[in-house]
Amino acid sequence: MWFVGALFGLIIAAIGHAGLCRASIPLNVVTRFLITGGLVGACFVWWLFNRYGLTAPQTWAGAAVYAFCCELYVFLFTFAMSSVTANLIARLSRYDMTDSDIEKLYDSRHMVATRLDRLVGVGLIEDLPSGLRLTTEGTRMVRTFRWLRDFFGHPQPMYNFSAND
Amino acid sequence: MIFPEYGVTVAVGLSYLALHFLLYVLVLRGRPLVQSERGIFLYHFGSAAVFTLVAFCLTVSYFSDAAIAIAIGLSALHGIYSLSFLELWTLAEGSYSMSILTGIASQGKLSRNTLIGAFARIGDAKKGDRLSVLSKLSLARRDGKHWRLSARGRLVAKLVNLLIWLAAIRKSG
Repeated sequence: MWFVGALFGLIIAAIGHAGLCRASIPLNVVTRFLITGGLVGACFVWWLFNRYGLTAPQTWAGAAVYAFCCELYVFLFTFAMSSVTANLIARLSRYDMTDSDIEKLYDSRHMVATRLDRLVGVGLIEDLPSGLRLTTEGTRMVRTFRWLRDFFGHPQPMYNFSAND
Repeated sequence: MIFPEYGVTVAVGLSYLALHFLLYVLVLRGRPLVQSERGIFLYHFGSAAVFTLVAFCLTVSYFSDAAIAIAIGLSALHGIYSLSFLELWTLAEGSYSMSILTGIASQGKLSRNTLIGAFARIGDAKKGDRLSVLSKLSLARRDGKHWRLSARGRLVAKLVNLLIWLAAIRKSG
């Protein structure tokens, strides 16, 4: 019952998220899920406490399964949102494409511009008349990112911005 | 005490997760084995598969609702740990958006055209990979001049379209 409850909770959270995503409020798609997923999760944990008690393994297992399902769902919809490969699969499901169709559709300059607009939209970059600049939040994100690269042993990226670009 | 009957089992399960992380931090980190996407994925996927299998084998010997809950709960915790780890690893390894952010950070201020020009070159290099990945995973195949989805690709496309619809994503990719 607790296992089915966790899966049912995810379905309710996903439906709530779908509804919230259609409302005109200034929140990004992940924050919207955190709201619905958090609310449903709180109700689900309250139900588990009442049904099984605080010390029962079913209570903690139900909460862990629900949390895992939510994390997987967030990963999947952010992947569907940001992955070019996922976007290509979605388009190929609607119509067949030639190499030149794909070439035109996935023009690299257009794709960088799309990502840039998204980063401006979530408040990590400021698009000023004098150029692009990181916001305080963006700077904090880059610091965390550098620390993560060091932690995982990935080399720090080097950039070569030529004036001709 | 939480789970008085299964306290040792839970402690062993949680210790395993801690050891798995420490093994990466103290021994494997920076080694070629776990520096590739495939290597780090197998390190986590293999561990999760064995962990879940052992948990369920132990469950068979107890066979109670509580024992099943412990096995599923611990497997879910492994899932949370591995998914979080792999997401961070991938993000740090080469996310396009993070690269744009660090690119701007390296210059302080950058014109939109300069940035788009520089990162478009990286995009051009990646372009060829995408179709070969789809082809390698048997998700799409070339049929004459056109690219078409395979049966597996259509199934994945249904999932992607459902997620896009659920999250009301207007602009993806």
